[in-house]
Amino acid sequence: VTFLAQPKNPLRLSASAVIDEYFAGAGCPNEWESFMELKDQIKRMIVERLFLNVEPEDIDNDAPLMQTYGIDSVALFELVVGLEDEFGVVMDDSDFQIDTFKNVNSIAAFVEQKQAA
Amino acid sequence: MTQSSVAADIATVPLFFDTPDGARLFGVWREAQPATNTGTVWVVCPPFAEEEKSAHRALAQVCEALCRRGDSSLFMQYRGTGDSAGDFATSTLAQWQLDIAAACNEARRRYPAQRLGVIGLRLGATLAALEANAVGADCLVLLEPILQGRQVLSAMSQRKRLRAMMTQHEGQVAAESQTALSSAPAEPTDDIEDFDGWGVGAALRADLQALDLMVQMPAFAGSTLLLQIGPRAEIAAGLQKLLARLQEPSASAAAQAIVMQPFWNLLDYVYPDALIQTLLGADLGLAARTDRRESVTTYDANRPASPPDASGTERAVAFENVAGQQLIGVYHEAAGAATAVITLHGWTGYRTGPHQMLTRAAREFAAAGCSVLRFDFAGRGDSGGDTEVATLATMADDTHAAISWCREAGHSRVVLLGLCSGCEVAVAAAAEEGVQGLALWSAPVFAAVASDARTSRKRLHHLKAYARKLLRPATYAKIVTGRLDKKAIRQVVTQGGGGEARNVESGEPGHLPPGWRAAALRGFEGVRYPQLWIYGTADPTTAEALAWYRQHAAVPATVHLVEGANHSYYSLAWEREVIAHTKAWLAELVQ
Repeated sequence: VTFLAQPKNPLRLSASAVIDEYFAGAGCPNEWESFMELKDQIKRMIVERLFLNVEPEDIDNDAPLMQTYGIDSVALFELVVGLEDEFGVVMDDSDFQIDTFKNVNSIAAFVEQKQAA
Repeated sequence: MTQSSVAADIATVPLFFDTPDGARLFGVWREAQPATNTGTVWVVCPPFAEEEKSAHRALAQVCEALCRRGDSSLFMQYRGTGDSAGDFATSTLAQWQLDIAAACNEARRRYPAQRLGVIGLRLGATLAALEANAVGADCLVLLEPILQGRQVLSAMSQRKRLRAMMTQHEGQVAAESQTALSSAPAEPTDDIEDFDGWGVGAALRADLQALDLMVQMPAFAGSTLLLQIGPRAEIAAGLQKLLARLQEPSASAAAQAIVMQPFWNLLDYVYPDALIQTLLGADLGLAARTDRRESVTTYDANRPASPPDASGTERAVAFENVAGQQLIGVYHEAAGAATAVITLHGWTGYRTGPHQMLTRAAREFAAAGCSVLRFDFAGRGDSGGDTEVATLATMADDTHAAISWCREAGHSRVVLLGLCSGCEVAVAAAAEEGVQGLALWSAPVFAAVASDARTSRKRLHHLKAYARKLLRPATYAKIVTGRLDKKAIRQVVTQGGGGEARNVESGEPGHLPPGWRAAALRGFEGVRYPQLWIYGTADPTTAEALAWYRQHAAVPATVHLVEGANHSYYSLAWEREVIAHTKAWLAELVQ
């Protein structure tokens, strides 16, 4: 499978994350790399905006952000500002869904969808 | 990180003062002791709505720091906000600009020959910039000013949607715990838009829509320091434009970025060390401005503040706790009332409560014949004491001091009204002499340590992260060079760390004394007077907490569930329901 050869550090990619990547529909190597880069950017944004005491690469793509990092509605607002400022996302009323902010995977999928629209 | 408490060398005086158009404003005056102002008198202008609650302690600490170097400060509250008289919903930006001018006059009245500085945060910075020239300020410090008022409305709308989203989610969790599913609160019927319990009227919304600092800011001849606060070290484009605009009239203006958390948008406290260091180290061009300063003047401490308003119902008060720390509060006096309600705010809040709920409740209770004392625990709001060492035990001691104050004011009986963690303090003080009732709003399980499930989940995550790090060469380099943070690792692996240890009994500063929880619980289990417990049905902690209180209370309580409400009742409708039920319960209790 082509995409399995792509990770820069396969040891840091859990099996579930690999499966997530595959089923996210990013099968083409270039799209896959681009999607991975987007996730890295999102992780950096999360760490920077929330002043988290973790390295961006230590955030699992599928780790529940609210439970793992204690992100509340107040902190979520900082993430929304970050998505707008750094990714050019314009939030519509219907975008405020809990599933959007569940984990890095869901945020990346949301950003990709908004940028494509 | 270190922080300082209000020391004996600072006089902290809560007061009311009047505006020329008859509004009555609350402020906290601070000055070094002995009262010899050798520097500048500052007026501190707070941000808007819930940002004010989050930023209050940090701004109070900024005032203290300025005071320690010999400056004085007046930390003001606009009409309709905080403890100031008036209705938030009908306020306007023009009125708040008048309020800043009145605060500057009040500061000048105390030290007429001193230089005047104005500090503002967010919308407070914007209003300060609009008013600085008119009040003749010598210098201006703008902390993250709002450039366009519509940004405020947009941010409030987004916060509201996020809060609604979280409430809906938590309501589903609560439903699984046998309480009802969240439902949206009813919108107010008049022309007021409800932003999480802050009713913003049409005039204020129109004012905000029209506000454009770049266009409306008058030229200011004094020195200006523009501070960006956030994750970035580079000044954002918008603030660079503002800086250029400030420099236009050949005035002294500089900008600086401070990398720190936006403390006006946090539930937890952040000590504003970086901000304070920047302010104390900044060259505001004051040394060269000697035109206003003729001599060092001393303030007449015996000079009375503005008299109470005509009704005389609200008074600024200060009293000491057992540790000799000064506690700041507001007393709402109802003529002839034998009973006083003492409000106990939440862990990270202060005396006004979330969305000013405790202020509004106190006014309603006082109008109905119950006196009310609202105060800040030590280490919170404007009171003395260290933020980080406050515990439920120190807060219970503070409550004891408040009960004594009420007794001296002629109230033989008191009702303790807690909100969130304030309920735990009420439980701890329940057996105090003179307490005749408890009203608990969103009471959590008393003095619980962090839930095992949550702690385990966080610990597992951190352990996984450390396991991954063991696969990296950089980790071994850190081990070899001794740069590994062993303390942090030990904390994560053994305790969970940080706030997880909040209610640990050890006797160390910031921990509870050994045996405190059991002793307090025995006191609570022994009381047999009436209690009112109010919860929101979308608060995921409701079911567990209600079960706990039912198990430990000696007599059945009156229970009221607010349909669809979240933990802090973030809507006008929920707030009104909570206050109305409590008022009716109080009326029965004291009749």
